[in-house]
Amino acid sequence: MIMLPKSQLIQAVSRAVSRGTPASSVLPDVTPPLKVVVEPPPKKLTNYSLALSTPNSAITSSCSIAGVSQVRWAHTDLKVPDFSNYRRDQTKSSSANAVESDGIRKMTSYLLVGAGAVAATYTAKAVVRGIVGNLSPAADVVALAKVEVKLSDIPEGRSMKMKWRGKPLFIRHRTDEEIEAEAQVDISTLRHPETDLDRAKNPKFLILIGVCTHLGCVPIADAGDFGGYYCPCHGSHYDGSGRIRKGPAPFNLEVPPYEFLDENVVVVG
Amino acid sequence: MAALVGRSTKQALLRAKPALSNQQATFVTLKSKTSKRVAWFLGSLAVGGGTVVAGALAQPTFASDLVLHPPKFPWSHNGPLQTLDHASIRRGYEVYKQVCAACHSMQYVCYRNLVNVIMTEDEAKAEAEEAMVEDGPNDVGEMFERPGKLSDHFPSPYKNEEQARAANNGAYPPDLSYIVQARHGGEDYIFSLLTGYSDPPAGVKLMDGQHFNAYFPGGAIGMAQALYNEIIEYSDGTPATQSQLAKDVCVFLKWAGEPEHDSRKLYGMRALIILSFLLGVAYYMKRLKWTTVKTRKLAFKPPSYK
Amino acid sequence: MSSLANLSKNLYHAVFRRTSTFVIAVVVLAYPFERAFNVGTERYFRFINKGKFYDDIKGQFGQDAEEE
Repeated sequence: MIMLPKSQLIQAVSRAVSRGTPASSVLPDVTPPLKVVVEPPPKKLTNYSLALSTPNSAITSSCSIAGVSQVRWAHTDLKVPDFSNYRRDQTKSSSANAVESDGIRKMTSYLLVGAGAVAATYTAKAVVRGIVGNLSPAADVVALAKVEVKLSDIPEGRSMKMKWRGKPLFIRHRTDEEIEAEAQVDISTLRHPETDLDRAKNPKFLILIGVCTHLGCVPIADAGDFGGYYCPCHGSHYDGSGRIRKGPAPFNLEVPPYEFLDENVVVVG
Repeated sequence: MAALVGRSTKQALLRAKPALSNQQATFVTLKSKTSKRVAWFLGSLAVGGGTVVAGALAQPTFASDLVLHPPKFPWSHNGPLQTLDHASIRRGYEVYKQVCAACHSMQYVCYRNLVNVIMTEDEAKAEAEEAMVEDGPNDVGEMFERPGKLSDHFPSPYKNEEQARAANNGAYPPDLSYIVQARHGGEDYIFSLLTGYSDPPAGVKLMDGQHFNAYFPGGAIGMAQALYNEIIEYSDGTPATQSQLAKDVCVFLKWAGEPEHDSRKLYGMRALIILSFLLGVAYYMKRLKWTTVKTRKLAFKPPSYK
Repeated sequence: MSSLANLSKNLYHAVFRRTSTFVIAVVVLAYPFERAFNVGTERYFRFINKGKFYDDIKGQFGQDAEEE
């Protein structure tokens, strides 16, 4: 072929084309170069040289409409290393029946992983319980949450005041007349209707939290117009069952949770 | 230039030198036999461990180390799965209450801590009620005394450190709640100290009110020997020899400083079982998932250059 | 045994094949496993420490001082 700069060739041809003469008449006379013999590169065992020597006749090809269409070479000269360290024993031999060992192979893997997952779930549960349980109240706080009161210390007709969970606790040993009087009150007239029996499990003892439901002052016992408590801050009158009768308080005095362990001992809280 | 023409005319010989000409076709694999891996692991362990031992042995001896170290006694709670002996804790509590509580406080231990460890709730309540505890202020603002409840701490014999020092020749009897953890040597040290009183050797001068104990750093301790044979009677009938008393009070103090001891060892055993099983499963899973990577074969099929 | 193969085949198709069923099975099995493991380890722990726990010595320190 002619060795000329591309631009010169294009220019010459375009001139010839515009004049309408065949291109061969304007092309300069060039002697073809001498034939240079290039030594072939030394034969190496590279992928390249190997690829050149791969057979292009000993092939299998399959062609189908819905199946696989492929051309396969017979790579019998490629060496594949031995991977038997990573293979299962049941399928190492080429004559082994894979279908027979399918159950064992699958089950070992899935069961081991499943057992590991169960152990990991157990660990996760323990960790979460530990972290969330850390938020629960400390043992000394829980120990102070309940208070035990010996009711025999309180004579009849008298009340006792003590501190419980930071709040005043009133315990009154009521006389029979007081109990009678409270039982006969018509609850429909009350601002916060509750029967006396709802509030005092054992009517002999009235256990209340001494915090006025209006704005939180501590009512005075045995005071007021209704034979119960009177709050000096804004003039709320409570009766002998701690129910609001007169004054600005909206609810009856709160009854804490309590239990009688026996005749004489009550656990509040 | 030649490359340009070569490309435009598709003459293979004029193509630029192929980059693949130096490539050797080899498969790189790790002949990973189990024995080789194990050998490597053990070898690296040995080298690491040897370094640590050599470093430890190369430390110089300091003069402050010259104190009589207590021997290691065969406590029944030594060992990763051994619990404290609760009968011994109970006896130790009796020793503390009758002998040590006269001078030593245990202000971080409460009566409720004893429940279901060495006594029932009712017994602990009775113990608490024996002590008078200061409470208050009452309605008129005064402090008052009342019998103890379960939620109260053990009462202190002195109101404050100054009073304690004044009553004990200037030496403060330390609070015993965490003493086993606060002293080098733990319960071995406490036991040796309690049973280690002797006459001072020739030449050692003690001041008034001091006593000689070879295990106490410095040798001159303010506490007189407190434990003698049969100074108290145990409620379960165990003979109250000096070493028995010392052993029981040490176990009690060990419990007081580490009340979580028993459950800690139980949880530790559970954790070790589960985690070692999980380690094995994790190793299996890693090897299973990596089979696709470890058996990967890449065959490069270059385009033909004809 | 072909019944074992059958069982493993059914187990695979019912539980292991889908991740969702696998996860449900693992979580459901974790509860009885937790209880069994905790009870088992505690029993073993109590066995190797026999005589040292409070429950073992409860009767010893009664009002009437019994012999140990």
